Formats: sequence, C-alpha cells, structure tokens
Amino acid sequence: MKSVILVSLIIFISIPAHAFTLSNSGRVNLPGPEVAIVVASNTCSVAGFNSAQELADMVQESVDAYWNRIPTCALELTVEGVNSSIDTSSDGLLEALTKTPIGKILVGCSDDADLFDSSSTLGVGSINTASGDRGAFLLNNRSTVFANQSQQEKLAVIAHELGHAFGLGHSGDPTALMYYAIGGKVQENLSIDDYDACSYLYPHDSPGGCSAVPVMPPGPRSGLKSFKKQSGNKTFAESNSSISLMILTLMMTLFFGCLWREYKARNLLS
Amino acid sequence: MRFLIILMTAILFSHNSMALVSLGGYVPFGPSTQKDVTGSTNTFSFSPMVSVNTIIPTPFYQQLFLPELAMVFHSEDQDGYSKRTTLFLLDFGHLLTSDLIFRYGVGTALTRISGEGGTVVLNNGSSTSTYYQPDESSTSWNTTINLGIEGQVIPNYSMRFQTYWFSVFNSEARKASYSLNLVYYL
Repeated sequence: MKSVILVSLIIFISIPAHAFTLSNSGRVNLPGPEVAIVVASNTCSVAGFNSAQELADMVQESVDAYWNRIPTCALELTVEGVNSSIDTSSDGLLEALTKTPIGKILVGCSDDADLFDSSSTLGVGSINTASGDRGAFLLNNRSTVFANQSQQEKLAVIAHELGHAFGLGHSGDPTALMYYAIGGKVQENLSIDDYDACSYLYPHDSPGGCSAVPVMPPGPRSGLKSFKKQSGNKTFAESNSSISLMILTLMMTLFFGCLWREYKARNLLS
Repeated sequence: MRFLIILMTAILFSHNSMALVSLGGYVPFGPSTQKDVTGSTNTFSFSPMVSVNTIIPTPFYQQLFLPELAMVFHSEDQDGYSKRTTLFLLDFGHLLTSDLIFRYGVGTALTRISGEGGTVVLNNGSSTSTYYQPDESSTSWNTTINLGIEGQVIPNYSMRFQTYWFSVFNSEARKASYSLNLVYYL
C-alpha cells in the first residue's frame, strides 16, 4: 500500500516555477485593498483609443478579467472614471505620479520620447516607491505598438502595468502575467505565481473566516461500515488517549482563537 | 454559539469516533490558473497534501461529523519563496450507502507565503532591472464551502475527492480548489 501511495503522489504532483518579485524598492503597497483607478482625460488616439472613456472601459474589463479574480488576494480595483483635470499627454512616469490622487492609481498615455524611446515598449507603470501612497501607468501613445495588439493582449498589457502600479515587479516565470514580455504567449488567465504575488502584498482576511476543528479520540479499527451501526449509540464515554486529548486541546485553542478573531473583526467593522 | 453546540455535541458522542490520516494531492484554483505559455490550465497540477481527521457519528440520521486538519506543501523555486496552505475543515458527511459518504461543510484556508529576501536581476523592456524578493511572511485567510465524496475501496482505506469553494459570495473571485486523497483508518 505504501508503494501505491508513493506512485499516486508521483503521478499527481507537478512542480510549477514560482518567482514573483516586488518593486525595485522592496515591499511597497497601496494603503488599502480597495483601490480606485482614475483615467487621464487626454485622448490616446495613437494607442488606438477614440476617447478617454474608451480607455477607462478597457481598464475595467482588464481588472475584472485578471486582478479582481483572486480569492486569496484582498485587492479590489475599480475604475472611478475619467478625471477631466488630469492630462498626461507628454508626461514621464514621475510627472504622472505627482498628478495621481493619493491612494489611487492613475492610468493615461503619453508620447514622451524619453519614456518610450523603444517602439516595442507597450507601457510603463510604477507605484510611488517612496511612500506607496499612489501608483500610475502610461501607455505608449508615441507609436502604434499598443494599437496593433489583439484585444486579449491589450487587456493583459493593462493588467501587467497595473501590477507594477500596485507594487509588483517582474516575474521570472514566463507563464506569469508579470513576466517582462507578452510576445509569443497566450495570457488568458493569471498564473499561480501572479496569485501568490497579489496575495503576498494584499492578503485576504475573512472577518468571519474561522471554523472549529475538534478532534476526538480514535475508535474501532474498521471502515465506514461500522458507522451505520454506531450512529444510534448515544452513551457518553471518556477518552483514554492522551494524544487525542492533546489534539483536542490544540483544536479547541484554534477554535477559540478563531472566535476571538471573528469577534474583533465584527467590532472593527461596526 | 452554533459552533459551541456542535463542539459539545461532538464531545458527547466522541466514544464512537475514529481517527484517520490521508495522503494525496491538492490543486489550488486549477482551471482558473495558467500553467504554460500556450494558455493551458493547471487542472491536474497536484501539490502534496496530508491530513488528519476523525469521523464522529451524530444522533442525526446517517450524518457524521468530520473535522479535519490538512496541510498542503507547495513546491518552491530555488531563489523564490515558499508557500503553505493549511485547511481547517468542519465538514459533515451523509452516508449514501455503507461504503459512500457525501461530504459537505465549511472551512478556513490559510495560505502563507514567505521569503528570505534578496534581489534578482530580470529583463525590463530592452534592458534589465533589479527587483526585490519577498522578505517576510504574509497569510491570507479564506472561508471555504466544501463539497466532496468519499468511498471505501478496501477495508481500512477509502478514496476521497473534495472541492473547496472560495469567495462564494463574490461572483468574480469565486473559485474552487480540489483534492484527491487516499484515506487510511487508524
């Protein structure tokens, strides 16, 4: 039977590569998991958008397709709309960051020659690495490189730059959305590496996410069949297993710990 | 309060309980995650999983109480980070036949990601940049809804397939992980 277990494990286990990184200033993340995205008002016609609202709609589609779909990550991105007072048409990334409202992410496009000196660069994004209070990304509006991408690739590029804007660096895993290049691959889903990256920076915390796990002493050495006969027996009997008592104590500690977490979370929410 | 009632009920009927251990594989969010550049998904990418649990009969018709503690050991990149998932399950089982249990319940999944820090140089556009790696631990807590089935294959051994539904009230983030285990009755 041991060999069956071993063979089963070998068959079913695969070894995915994990390699996400953080920004080039270490762990910096936005203040809250609920982050609003504002879109600059300048039109990104070279990048293929007829209006700023069209870009805003694509950004919303992108976050819904990628970052908002991770159960273990608390990050929740929402497009607030177009901000008519913000124009990024010739900005570098630092200029864009200074125009970004605190706690938010700014999305825009630019034809800045220093920023997009390579015609293959689709976009550039970053979090404010000094304080982590805001993030921004700009699409290449100097050449038609972004406009020439497929719809799926455009969504992936926007999600990739948003990843930089909320604190992620590149990944060494070619499967990941945060890999440095998008050419030659299909990116319809996030990889486990992307899931872990987002979960590391913005861990999910369920307010009532606890359950009790009391463990009882071991019983007869038989299979499931015995329970059909035993389920009607209601006589109380004490445990005579010290190991079982230790496990029970551990589980009850976890149980009451969970209850305490839930109590604290509810008090904080109310 | 309902947890206390369940706990007390479990203690009262503990004399019929049975301890179990299991070995198997766990797939986190399989069909929702990508495993290679062609876009195929991690449907069968199992990570090793071990668990201890009990079966406790209840006074309710054909219902069993099946609390469980499970650990999933994810693979680790050489210069990356480590990840571990711990599942606290509060499941019940309905005896469909003498050899088959339908499992249902709730649980808590703790996903812990930690790293030892350091930097790595990676491509960035047409040049390279230095990026930082995780240097501390971070734990996500999730409530799960669990559904599964367990069938006895030979005496003292059974096979179990179980699904763990995360973020059930969030239509975008609702995802399922699943496991396949070989269970041994101690």
